[in-house]
Amino acid sequence: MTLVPLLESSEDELARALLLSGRADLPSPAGLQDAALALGLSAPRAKALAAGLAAPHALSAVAPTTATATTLAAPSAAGAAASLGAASLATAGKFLVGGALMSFVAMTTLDHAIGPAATPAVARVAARASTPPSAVPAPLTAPAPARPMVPEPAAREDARPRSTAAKHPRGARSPISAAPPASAEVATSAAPPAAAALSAPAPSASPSASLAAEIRLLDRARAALARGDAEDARLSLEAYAARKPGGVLSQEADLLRVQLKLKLGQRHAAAELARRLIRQYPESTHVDSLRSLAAEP
Amino acid sequence: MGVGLPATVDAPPAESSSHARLQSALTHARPAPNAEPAREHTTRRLAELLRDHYAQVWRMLRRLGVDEACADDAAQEVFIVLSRKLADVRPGSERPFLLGSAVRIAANYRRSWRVRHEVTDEQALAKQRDPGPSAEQLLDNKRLRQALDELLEGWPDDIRTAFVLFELEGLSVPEISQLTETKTGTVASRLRRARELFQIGVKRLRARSATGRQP
Repeated sequence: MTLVPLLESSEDELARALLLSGRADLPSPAGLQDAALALGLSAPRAKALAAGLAAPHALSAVAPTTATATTLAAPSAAGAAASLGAASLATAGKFLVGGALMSFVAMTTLDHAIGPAATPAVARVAARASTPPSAVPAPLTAPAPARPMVPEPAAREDARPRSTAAKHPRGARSPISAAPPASAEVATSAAPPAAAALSAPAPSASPSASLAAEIRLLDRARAALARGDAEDARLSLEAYAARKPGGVLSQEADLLRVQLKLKLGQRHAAAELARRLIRQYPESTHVDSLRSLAAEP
Repeated sequence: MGVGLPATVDAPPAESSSHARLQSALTHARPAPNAEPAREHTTRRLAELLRDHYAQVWRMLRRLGVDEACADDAAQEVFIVLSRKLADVRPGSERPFLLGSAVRIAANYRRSWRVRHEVTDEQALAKQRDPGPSAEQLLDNKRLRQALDELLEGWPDDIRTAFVLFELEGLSVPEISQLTETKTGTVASRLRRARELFQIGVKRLRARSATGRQP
């Protein structure tokens, strides 16, 4: 019998939310910088590494938590609903998404398209998502005054009035990732041999290897973006699209695609893609952040 | 495994091990002329490894029970172990090396933590009486993660390791088998046991959060 990871197979939404919270955990850039210095790397190199960690890893939490948010409210998620209430857990998922995503948004265009009322909450969330205990460089938290790091569910609800997650039907589990134009567009000039080579890290074709393969390809794409290697990022995302359309982490892939376009200087195309995803899935919990990505400076 | 910070500039190692060569390459301000490209190569390789694997190593250590205050140090330790053996590690096999070190270093941390916190049985009991996070508190990512860590606490090491590697880090059973030097059948049965424990933990958490729920 082949084991399939619980993240892919479990119907228990509390279990999934717990696992995803583990996956969304991030080290502090300061820790990485210290490690780099201890290994004898130069200060600028160490700093660059830390900066790379701060930006793109904020994205890593996005996709899975969104999946949680959308599925939490599904009728079949009776397990979570029984004791915690589908609505509140859906909000949990949404909040997780908001946290991770907004820290990314804060890096790019915090002020765009997010309602003024929402901004302080968003900034606070960004700070929390990106701040394991040691200090993180200022830019993330700059837009808002320091706030106490306590959960304020009511305030969050106010700040993010479109609590649409609860309305998602089961089928909407990966709303954004289902968009064929996104992957098609990025994968236009697909170079099959290169893509095939990239997908090699998963030696076994068993289902249990698929999550590993997804994680590796997206980690690779993210790392490539962090070091400014757009070509490698593109190939990794193509390989991902080729092997896992609609995988567990495919929303992460979609956001990386938008980010890749930004990296390539295609601000217009990035905004266009973000807008298209919004049009197709107006109910998506990604809408706020996609909107800010869609806002061209 | 005696692990610590690398020797400093003041004390160049005398033996000509790979470690010594590396230390020399890393710390001497003016290496021999032909050492320069080697040094640059080593540094670049380490930078790439940090970039590609640091986050995963750190995350793994946390889930394997290294507390937040120690995780940065432990992650650093994992990479220092690698840097000492870098010359012997084949390019491409650094990841299993790093993850394997992380498993061992996490086990060391857990052991020394237990020694330092031997009287925590009462605290553990108190924790069990604690109603646990309310539904509202579980809205917080951090609380969810705390709940996950509490859930994993006290699991047998080998079962916890298999669970973290498979369910959270996405490694395959053969990879885990290789990393932990265990038969695949054993890994699979550990994973089954881990799922039972996980399900019990989730159930318990659900019950606790129901009692802790605000009216």
